[in-house]
Amino acid sequence: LGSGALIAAVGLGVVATYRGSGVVNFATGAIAMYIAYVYTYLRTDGTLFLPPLPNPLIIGEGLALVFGASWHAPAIPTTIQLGGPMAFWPATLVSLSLAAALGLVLHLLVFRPLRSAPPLAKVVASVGVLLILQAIVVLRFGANVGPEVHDEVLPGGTFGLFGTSVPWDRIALAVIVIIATVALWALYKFTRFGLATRAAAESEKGAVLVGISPDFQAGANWMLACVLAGFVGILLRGILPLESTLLTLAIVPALAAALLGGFTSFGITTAAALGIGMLQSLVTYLETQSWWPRSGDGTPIPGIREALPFVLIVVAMFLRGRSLPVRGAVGSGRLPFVPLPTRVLPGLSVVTALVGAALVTLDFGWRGAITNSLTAAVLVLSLVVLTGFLGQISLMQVALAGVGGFALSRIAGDLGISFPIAPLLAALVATAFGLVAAIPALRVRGVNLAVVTLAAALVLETLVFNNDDLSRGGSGAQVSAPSFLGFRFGPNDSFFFGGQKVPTAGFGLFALVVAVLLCLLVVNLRRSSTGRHMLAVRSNERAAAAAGVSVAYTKMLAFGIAAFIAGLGGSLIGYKFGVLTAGTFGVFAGLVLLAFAYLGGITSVGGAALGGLLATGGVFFYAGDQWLGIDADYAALVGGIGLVLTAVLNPDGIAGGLRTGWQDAQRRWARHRAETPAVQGST
Amino acid sequence: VCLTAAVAAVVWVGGAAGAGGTKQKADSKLDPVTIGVITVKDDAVAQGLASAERYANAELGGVDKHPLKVKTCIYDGSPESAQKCAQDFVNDDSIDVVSFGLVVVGDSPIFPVLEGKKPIVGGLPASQTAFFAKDAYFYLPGSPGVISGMAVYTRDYVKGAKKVVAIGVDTPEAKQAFDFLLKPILTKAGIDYAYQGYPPQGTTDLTSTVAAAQSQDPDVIMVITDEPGCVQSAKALAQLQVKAKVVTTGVCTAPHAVKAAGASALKGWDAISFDSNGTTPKSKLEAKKLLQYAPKKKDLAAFSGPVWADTIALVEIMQEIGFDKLSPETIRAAAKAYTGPLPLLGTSQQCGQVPLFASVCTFQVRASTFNGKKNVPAADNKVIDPSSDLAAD
Repeated sequence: LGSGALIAAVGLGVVATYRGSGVVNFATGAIAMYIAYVYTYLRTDGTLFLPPLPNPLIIGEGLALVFGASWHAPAIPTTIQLGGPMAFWPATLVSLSLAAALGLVLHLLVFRPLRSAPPLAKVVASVGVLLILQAIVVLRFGANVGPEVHDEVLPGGTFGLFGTSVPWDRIALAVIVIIATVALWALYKFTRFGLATRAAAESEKGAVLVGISPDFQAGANWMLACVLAGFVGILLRGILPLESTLLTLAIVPALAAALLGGFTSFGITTAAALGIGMLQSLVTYLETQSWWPRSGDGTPIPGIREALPFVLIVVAMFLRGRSLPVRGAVGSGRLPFVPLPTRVLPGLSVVTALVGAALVTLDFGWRGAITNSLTAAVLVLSLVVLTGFLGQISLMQVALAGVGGFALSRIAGDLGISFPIAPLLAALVATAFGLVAAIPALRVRGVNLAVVTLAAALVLETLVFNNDDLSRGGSGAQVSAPSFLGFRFGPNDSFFFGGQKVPTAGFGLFALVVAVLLCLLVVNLRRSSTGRHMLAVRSNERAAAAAGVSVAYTKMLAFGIAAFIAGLGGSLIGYKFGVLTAGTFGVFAGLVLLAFAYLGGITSVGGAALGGLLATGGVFFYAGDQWLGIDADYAALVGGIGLVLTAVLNPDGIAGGLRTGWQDAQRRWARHRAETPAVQGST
Repeated sequence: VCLTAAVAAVVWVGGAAGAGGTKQKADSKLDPVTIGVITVKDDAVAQGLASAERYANAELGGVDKHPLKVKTCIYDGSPESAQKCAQDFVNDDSIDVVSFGLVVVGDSPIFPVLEGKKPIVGGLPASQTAFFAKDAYFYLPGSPGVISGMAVYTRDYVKGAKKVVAIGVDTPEAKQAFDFLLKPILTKAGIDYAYQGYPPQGTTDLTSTVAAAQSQDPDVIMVITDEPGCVQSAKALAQLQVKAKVVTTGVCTAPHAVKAAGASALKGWDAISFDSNGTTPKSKLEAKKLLQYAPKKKDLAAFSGPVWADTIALVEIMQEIGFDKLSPETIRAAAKAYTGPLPLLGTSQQCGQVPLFASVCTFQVRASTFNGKKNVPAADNKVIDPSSDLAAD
């Protein structure tokens, strides 16, 4: 009940946000976590912590140095002292006020500008908010557990039931969640506020005509949802340790529960969440029984407890096959533009030559960063096909890369199959997994599919990567360096050019070749009739079907190609690290990949390249470290802020912005050239 | 994560002791002897390293008067950053040897980069790749010592123990470690053993896990997990009023965890941690030096002592070799032959004594009981050394 109530509470926040603003807020758990920190430090020492923003005055220090002067910028405060340790109610009041303010700020600065944006932009923005909140807490408090607060808001003790002890606080928590569910249902059913919210959700235009402001409704709902999430964070302080990931990760099962409730039903969401919690607890107990299926070492097969509820929900979604109720927004939400690549070979040749030259001439630090970027770019390419061309939001591409990487370890290590057959076979294994994951996509789409693929990634991580019988992901799956005709070109192997410092240039050049070949594959796919079919499906499935496009075939093909590319990316990661563990391909890595792909520009090969540059350990952060001294600790914060800004200001991503700028410049130049002779003639 | 927690089972002892010995200053004009340290960002580690560096240069004469320089590479727990640190050090010609500070996750890419090129000397063996690493020499017992020490302690000091249930994170790495380290010792002693795992990510409530453990009617519950897991386990065990004896790692009874869980929830727990009671005059003196040379004494905490001890041991090893003969090969050979006692902690060392854990050079740990206020020595304050049990298996 405790887990279920927690999942339900976060799920209610998700539903409230969606009903009010049409945003599936991946940051709901992170908001609860953030407010829990605020509350705890108000209670323990009366301080309100501030985000660790960079000090703008530091520029003054640099300028002073340039002119030979010495000036030290005053430090900006990191906390606001509000007296001594606060009592429960004042701390709660301040914390929930801050939650409401946070909700309003998120609405005004992030999600109102995205009101008519496609679901992908909203998902990406909420992932950006998640990253920002988590980064703030980690930067401010570190990864350690925060102090305990002895509030005892919930009753202590236990009572006996069927021979086991049941804690009262779990019962109380479940009752509170059920009361909150009924209250929210009543709020949206019977009050003017609720009716207005529903009206705005049905038709924004109609709502405006009868004097309802959809903006106001959305803002109020954001505040309500954040207060709800914050209350969850405070309430759970007596049960959960204070740290940055527990509540943030609760979003995964909460999304699954909300998905079953169609993101609109508070009752179904709560029931599903309680069901998930109870089912997981039941499996925990059943695992102690002798008849429960066990792995080779005699312990219960791992992952069933975590995977089972998600499998059931995905099956239910597939059987039900209904999409999310679409909000009647004024704008339909333009999908990012998918450019038709022209004159690719000259440009690609130049870039390839430049990158190749950089790999053999720059020092090992840059070489490593470029290699990381190339590897990440391959993964982003898989998203270009699936999300950019087909319009399907997948959060499992990193998990599919993991399938490829672990399969490579098995194929090359156990079966002795050598390069290049081994990585190709590994990519085919990933393709098979991708095709299985594509089956729900035949009936589920948009944000629903994002949640389903997130669940699939979790299932892969818990059932496959953490199962040593299948993947050796727990103890470390060894991947030997690639070699061809006796020549090894792993990152630690010597190479003819670029010096012998690791990573040597050989592996970087290999990654470059793979990335370039896959870029050409994706470019040709975009130009082909298959690519056009994908765009047709992305634009309107019914219209595409009416025009003779097989929607199911096109979707399966795109999922297969994307999984193959991701599988090759996983092989590259395996070769790069030499050892793979389950943590390398975690669920949240998929979210971060989507974020960087969107930031770069998810609809083009150029965007994939830029996404690769922005990835963890890539060129962008290495340059920031080398040239600007930006601590790697700030990478998540900078990435999150960049993501939100991109989603709000430039939905086509950096590549799209550059392309638009270039085209504008070309037009201006052409106009200037056309006008100049006339002016000369008149004089 | 579970193993991470176990290896974090350390106790820093900052006891007072009298000063003594001849002080030799390093000559700052000479070329430094640089060691590379890979670690996550941690104030306690930073203080331990800084203290060791200052102490070695102020009183130990560096290495043949050449000052010691500790070059730290902070990684963020990701494999990319871990690999980059290893690459930076393997490419740095001024570095002959690499040490670990607090390296607990994402460490697997480090070993292939350094293996055969520069040895890893000192640090905590925190993962299976670390235990089995071919070119690493760890002078702290880490998970192998602490977890097998828990089994030996239960066998030898917990009266009437017939059934043990270990609660830990449900990963193959943890399960395998427990199978290697707990099961053989316990079953050989006629004690039933069962493992009760909980999901590795996002577990918000351990009540059902503890209830499932309780349903097996154990005499001893072992809690082998990280700090959040300790806090959740403590709360669940207290709430469900579980009567079984709790044996855990030092991470659960460290001051920070006590603050997070509440002292009453942890009262009576027995913890196995590194041997760091500072019982000899030498170790008492070294504890004082750690404190004396730390730039920010308030940041001294759990990991300060072990990294200080490792760094000073490395200095002693390099002094034995002599500055002119320092190279990865000579350091590797000397590190492998090092027998201790490890500064500060006093543990004896014998690399390869348990062939399965080739990189682990000591398994010596101690037990303590948390009495609601502080940890007091248990097991008659004797050293627990499970190496013979492990070697026999």
